[in-house]
Amino acid sequence: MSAHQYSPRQALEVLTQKLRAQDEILAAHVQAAIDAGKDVSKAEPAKGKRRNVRVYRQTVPFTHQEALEVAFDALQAYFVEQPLFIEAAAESFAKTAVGVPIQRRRTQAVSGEEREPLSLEQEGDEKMIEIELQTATQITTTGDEVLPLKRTPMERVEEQKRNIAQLRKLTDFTEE
Amino acid sequence: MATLQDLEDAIDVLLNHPLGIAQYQLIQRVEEKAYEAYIFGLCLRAARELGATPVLRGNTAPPTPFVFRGAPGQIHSTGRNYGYAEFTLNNQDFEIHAGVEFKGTSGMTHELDVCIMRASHARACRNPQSLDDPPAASLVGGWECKFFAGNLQKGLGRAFVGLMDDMGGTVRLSGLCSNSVHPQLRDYFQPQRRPYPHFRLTPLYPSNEDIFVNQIKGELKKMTAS
Repeated sequence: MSAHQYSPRQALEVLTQKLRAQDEILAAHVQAAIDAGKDVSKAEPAKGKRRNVRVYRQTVPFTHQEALEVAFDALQAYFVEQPLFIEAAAESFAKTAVGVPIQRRRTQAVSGEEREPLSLEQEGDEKMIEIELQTATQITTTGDEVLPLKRTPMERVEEQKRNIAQLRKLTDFTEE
Repeated sequence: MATLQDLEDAIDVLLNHPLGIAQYQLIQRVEEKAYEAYIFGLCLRAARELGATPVLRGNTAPPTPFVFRGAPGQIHSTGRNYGYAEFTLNNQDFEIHAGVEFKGTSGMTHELDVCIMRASHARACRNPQSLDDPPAASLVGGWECKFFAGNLQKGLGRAFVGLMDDMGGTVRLSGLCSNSVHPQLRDYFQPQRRPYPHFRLTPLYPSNEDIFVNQIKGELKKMTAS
């Protein structure tokens, strides 16, 4: 007996509808990942003068079950991996000191190609990391100049991992 | 038995979570750059694990905050206080950069998402008396970083092979880093001297992080041993 009251196709439709309702761009990204299809090896039996089986590549659409997995992988990339990238970067930056040039008298100044003497500060401290939005060569202003990358509590990331795992379970039709 | 309502509820929980749609809308403008920041962080880790002390620097002042370029730029650009890192290993100085343009052997400039380069060249290119793009010979390792929610595009691999070809034969390390994967690209990168396919390079696969970090450590150790 089926463990689901819905088919893979219905599950995919519900997911894509809900995604579209919340964010058209994200829905389009997920749809593009699904629509890329997959490569499979096809075998053509020996025929005529050819004694060997001929194997060739063919790009085919995902099944609805596979498309669901592709969609969850894509959502995982945004909802789980992105916060993890920021966390890992922040962690590595925190362990790294900031170099502050030591002021020297003019006669002792280093040449442009020598290593500057530095005082190492803030090792072990959280660093503020920002991504430039308004680039140096852009002549139109676009609002915010930079976007700070902020860590998210890891419990939140774990919750999203569990939420995706739950959805994978709810859309696992392999035994049916 | 799972009902359609169960499924709908589970989807709502995922999308309405603080790390759901809201997170996507916040980060989507910089998703590629956040991935570069992550790879930059792995380079810092490699330097630390070699016993070096990486130090965060800024183009015009101490990097507080540390700013990643939003678009490819010149190493001497002072449009903002862009960040980089420096470290010394066996008396040789290196710098780690993101989004910096290099002069290829053809004279054409190329952007490297994340790179490790010889610090002497970097300093020379920032010297007000000799501002320039760093030459291909200054590059030690360069990585293309691609965040993808689907399959990687083949064209990225082809373009990066062409880019690295123009960087000449002295580059010791190169790779295409992505959270995603592409089986055909993996094959395409197989021939010797082609970039290494660092696929599924994310904190979800710590062994892939180790491969990336160990490659850097191995090459820098060899390079600075003599």
